[in-house]
Amino acid sequence: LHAHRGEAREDALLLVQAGPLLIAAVADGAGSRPWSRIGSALACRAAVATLTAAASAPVDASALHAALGAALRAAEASLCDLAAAQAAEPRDLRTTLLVAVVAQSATGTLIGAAQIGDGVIAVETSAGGIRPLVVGDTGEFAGEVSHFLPDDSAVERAVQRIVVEPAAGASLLFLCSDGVDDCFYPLPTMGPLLVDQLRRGVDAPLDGFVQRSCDPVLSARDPADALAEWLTFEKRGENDDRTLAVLWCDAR
Amino acid sequence: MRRLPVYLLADISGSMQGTPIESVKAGIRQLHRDLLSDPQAIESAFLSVITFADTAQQDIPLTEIGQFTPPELTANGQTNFGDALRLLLECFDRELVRTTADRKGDWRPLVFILSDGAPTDGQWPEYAQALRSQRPANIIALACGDQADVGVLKQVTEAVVQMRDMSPEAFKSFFKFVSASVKQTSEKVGGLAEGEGITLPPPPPGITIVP
Repeated sequence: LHAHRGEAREDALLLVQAGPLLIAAVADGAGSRPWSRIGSALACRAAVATLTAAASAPVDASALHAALGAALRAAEASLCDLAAAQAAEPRDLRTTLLVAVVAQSATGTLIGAAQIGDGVIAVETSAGGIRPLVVGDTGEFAGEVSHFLPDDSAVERAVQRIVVEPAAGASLLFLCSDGVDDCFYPLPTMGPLLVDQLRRGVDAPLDGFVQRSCDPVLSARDPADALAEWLTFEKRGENDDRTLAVLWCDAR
Repeated sequence: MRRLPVYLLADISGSMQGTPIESVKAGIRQLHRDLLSDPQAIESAFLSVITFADTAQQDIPLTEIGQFTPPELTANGQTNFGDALRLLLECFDRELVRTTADRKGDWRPLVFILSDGAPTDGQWPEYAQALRSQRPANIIALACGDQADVGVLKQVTEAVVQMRDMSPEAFKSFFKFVSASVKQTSEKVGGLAEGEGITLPPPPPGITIVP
């Protein structure tokens, strides 16, 4: 709906390759707060900067876990600092934050994930299934989120749920804002269809979707452009910003 | 598909006979026409009408805008407000979809309560308390005229507005406010904190917010 009206989007995205780390951050500013689009962009920037700095040290599971925790805290601090500088309420910058890393360590490829708010970080398993890594902070009703950044306790709660594990057969790691997750909910069931479309393209839209034919996204010459085209699908009642980041777990 | 459930809870007791009940009927028709002209509302808004007098009944179950037929209403009897609140809670249990691991839930419902009097039953405080504590919906109550018991409505929801004039024009303004509220809510994109109240358009002239 933002795109339809020519308004600023509230989702933000950053993808960075830093040494042995492939880093992705996706954030969705809370639609109910006035500066949330700034909050989402700032949170991504702070989290990715912290993880980029961590790329210069040797990477193992413990270091990656610590770096993800530091990334969440840095994002929180950046929002609180901006709010203080602008004499605004921190909640006016409310945003979700999903951070994921594919790391090449001495013992093999690791994946790490941390999440505040809704949306999903998931991997495609060797069997072709989709497995969410972190339980999202969704509420009882649509569009409601139980924890936002920088609300009290959101970071500490998320730190407790950081996941770091061997990639072990995972082929794709992806991060979705709720604008994509809601359309393919529940992802363990619908995710394989989503990934199949990214691999094979779209010749017939899924039930309930209106979508033009699309070429395969993952093998496209310009995957970002192809992904943007794929994201233009329509589904009744789904008008939110859409962000999808796809990482290859065997990326070097 | 995620729905925006909208419940109208209308007092059709004897005191609403004549112009008031005709104005409510016209208001519901107008609300339906308005929403039919709004793309976002057509996609997501579902309407239900519950009326109460000696007892409460759900005249129209939760129905998508394109299939909705405004009900015929007749005013008669007492004001069994408790039965209306009980039925509303029962409809929530029966009709609302809450988010689970398998299914995305509805938007938090919008409820508009209209009443021009005071309850004649003794059960309403129990159900009012349940609505206040569970907060399963964003509830806006309209006190119609001078005889409406604002204090009772305040025990159901903080959001109470008062319309002292019960002319057809005043009801028309109120239903425009309902329509604008539904449109604004159905256009929302992006999240809000769980339990955070929604922002509604300002009430029109002649309708005041009860502090």
